[in-house]
Amino acid sequence: MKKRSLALLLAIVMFATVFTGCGSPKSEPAAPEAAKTEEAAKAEPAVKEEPAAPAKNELVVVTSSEPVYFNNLCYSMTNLPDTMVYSQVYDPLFYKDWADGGAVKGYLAESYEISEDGKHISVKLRDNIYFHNGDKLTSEDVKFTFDEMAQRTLGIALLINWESVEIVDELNLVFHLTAPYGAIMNALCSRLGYISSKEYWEEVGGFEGYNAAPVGTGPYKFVSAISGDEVSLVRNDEYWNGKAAFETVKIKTVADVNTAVLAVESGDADVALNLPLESLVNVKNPDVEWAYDLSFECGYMQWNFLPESWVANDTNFRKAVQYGIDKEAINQAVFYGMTNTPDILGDETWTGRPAAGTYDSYSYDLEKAKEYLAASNYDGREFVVYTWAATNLEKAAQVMQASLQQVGINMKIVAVDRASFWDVCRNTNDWDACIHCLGASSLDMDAYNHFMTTMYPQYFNANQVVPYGTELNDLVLAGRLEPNYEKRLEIYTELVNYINNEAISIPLYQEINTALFRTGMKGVQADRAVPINRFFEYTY
Amino acid sequence: MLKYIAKRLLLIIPVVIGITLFIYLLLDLAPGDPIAIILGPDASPEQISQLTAELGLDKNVFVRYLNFMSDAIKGDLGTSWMTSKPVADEFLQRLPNTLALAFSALAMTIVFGLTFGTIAAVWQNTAIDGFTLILALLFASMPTFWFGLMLQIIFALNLGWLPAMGVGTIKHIILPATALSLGTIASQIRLTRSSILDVINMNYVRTARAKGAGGFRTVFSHVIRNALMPVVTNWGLTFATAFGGTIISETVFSIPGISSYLINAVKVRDIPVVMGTVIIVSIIVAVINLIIDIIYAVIDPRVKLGYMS
Repeated sequence: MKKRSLALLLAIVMFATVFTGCGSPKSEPAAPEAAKTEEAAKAEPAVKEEPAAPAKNELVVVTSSEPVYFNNLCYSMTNLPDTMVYSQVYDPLFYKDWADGGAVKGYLAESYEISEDGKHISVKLRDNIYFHNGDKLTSEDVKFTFDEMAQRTLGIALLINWESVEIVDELNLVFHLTAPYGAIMNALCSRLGYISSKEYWEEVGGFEGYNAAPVGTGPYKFVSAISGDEVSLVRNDEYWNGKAAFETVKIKTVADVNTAVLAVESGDADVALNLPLESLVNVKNPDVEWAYDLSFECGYMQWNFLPESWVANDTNFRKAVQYGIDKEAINQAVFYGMTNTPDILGDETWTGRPAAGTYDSYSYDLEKAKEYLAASNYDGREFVVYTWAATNLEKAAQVMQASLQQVGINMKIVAVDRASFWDVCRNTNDWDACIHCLGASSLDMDAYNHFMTTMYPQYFNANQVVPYGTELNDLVLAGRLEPNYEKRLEIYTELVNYINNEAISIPLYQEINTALFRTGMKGVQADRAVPINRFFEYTY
Repeated sequence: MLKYIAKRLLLIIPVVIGITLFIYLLLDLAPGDPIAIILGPDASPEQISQLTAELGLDKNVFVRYLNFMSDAIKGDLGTSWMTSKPVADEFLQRLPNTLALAFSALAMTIVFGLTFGTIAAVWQNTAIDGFTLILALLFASMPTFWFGLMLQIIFALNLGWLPAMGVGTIKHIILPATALSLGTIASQIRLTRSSILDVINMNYVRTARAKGAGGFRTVFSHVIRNALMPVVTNWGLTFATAFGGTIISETVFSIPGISSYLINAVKVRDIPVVMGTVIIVSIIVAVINLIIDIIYAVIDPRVKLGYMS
């Protein structure tokens, strides 16, 4: 009896301690309100929640990677999650209208005109656009942004042949190029085109100050950022292009994808952007919906072209691999059949990309792969392929390994973190090929410049020798400089013929952008190509 | 006693030096180029060499370590290579979340572990004992991330009682602390049970009973206090385990703490963040263990006498 009393007492003490220690909903001031909201949401089906929804003034968006820089003039390369903040706080000068086939249109630019020689772009800005601090947007701000950007890593990568910006008057200016650049308008639509205030930059003492409290002309004003947690924004009620539906926005960083899905399902968040497909395909909750679209990032195989590399000197082996990779199997296994099976970089929305059927193509052909392998010098050795661990690339590599095994190729996958990957591929000869992912912000065939040619020797080991490297370099340079679109197509057709015939590189798939959102939300869609989701367009 | 505390505090210095030097060398030996991550693949060789010099990566590893430590002693933990923000600022912003999580987990471990362990010992070889041990085994076998996910599904998604993620209110800490403390509760139950069983049949306990002390008084005044020494020792280790284990809870429950900060930094070889975090965490763990040692003295006067002598 005494023992029972003791046990009872201990149990009471335990529960009392825990619950008083942790606090009950009553003791927590914010709790009743939150509980009410949750209860109300649970009490009614999702469809009936809609009439009450306009009362929701806060939009909570979940992202798996943390936005770090809140101004695009940072000295290191900006990350894609940063774009999520830029898109709300700043306005771009130009944008690609995917509803109109990806046509380039002015945003802060009212109109623009490219000179016949392709070296000058005249831009007229919209009048009466104001930054969040009240300063008026003028040509000075645009010039300042591009002058600074041209010296940043991002600008150096995208503002090719860039010379200067000339101010004509308060609202007119001209961009000067040293030579035409075929993808210049696409580049101007990328994340480098968000305009900062020159006066404010000087007032706060440069990037550090600007990044700490950024001002733009966008639909939301920056309020605060808590490291690793959230970025808070508040609606810009004087926004020139109309008022956003939500008064406040919180961009929350949730590293775990399951938690991100649960957050939207439970109503803790309204939208989760760019979650992996595997976390969404099994979501069967009527309270949420999801969408997807092709990303600007490509999964891509690159060979080791160092002179002493055996794959570099064996075209037949490379062709065997080219024909032996079952890309549709990758699409099914990794992307549930939702992506494409490219034979050259990009998709049909990329400018300068030859149309299907106009260039030398190839497709999965086991017999042909075996023939090429028989003609090669391959002796059964390990074909060492490096890739990024715990990514779609690793999964794709595993599918590739299986299909190449059928050909008779002994592929070994070495999956490492990105830092180690670059270390190995740049500084060693310990790899035969590598599979990695790169986004081409230019959305143009000029991406070949960034992806593989010797024109960027720093990209991989500087001593690499790409087959037909001179010809490829000449073509890439010609495509870059050619202002006539039809002629660019011809140049890139010749380029991809070289690449495919020599199996110089093998694109595997395009990544997928996704958006998971509460049922009833309008205006939410997975980003086409570059992540620029504008919460301004979201509403319930 | 004060002399003992001062001695223990001084001992923290070589511990921190040892840990930081080991981590620094390990990071240096690990493959991976932080410059490539910072600048991206399009960086020119000139940009790469300029940044390498700016970050001091062209210097010998020991020179870099000494430079870092001399700055750290002055209170400057440097700036994150990835975010350009001062490490100390970000650390201090995140530390309360991790401490709250670790201490909540420790509190739950102590309360549940002591209670169930005592019950199991008092009712040794009964159904209650069996049930408690099975419970402990179950707790020890469940992975934290899986249990965390289950808690989220049940309490956030299905019942809607608690938030699935984030920080801000006490409600936010309940699920992650529960998930985090599960394994340590299991070990605490088993340890408490065995410690009490060691003591419960001692002559002085029997004497106390013979002198008419009630069951409750016997257990609380004579058994638990004497059985507490190994249990309290375990609290220090439990805290270190909980502190280290916060990475899983922080990830699953999206808590902006220092564990996730550290892990992200390791992935991108952000040395100032890794080093700054390691220094402070090692000091915190060392201090907690010192506090545990002081608690010994409170529990057992013999230890206090030992310190004083």
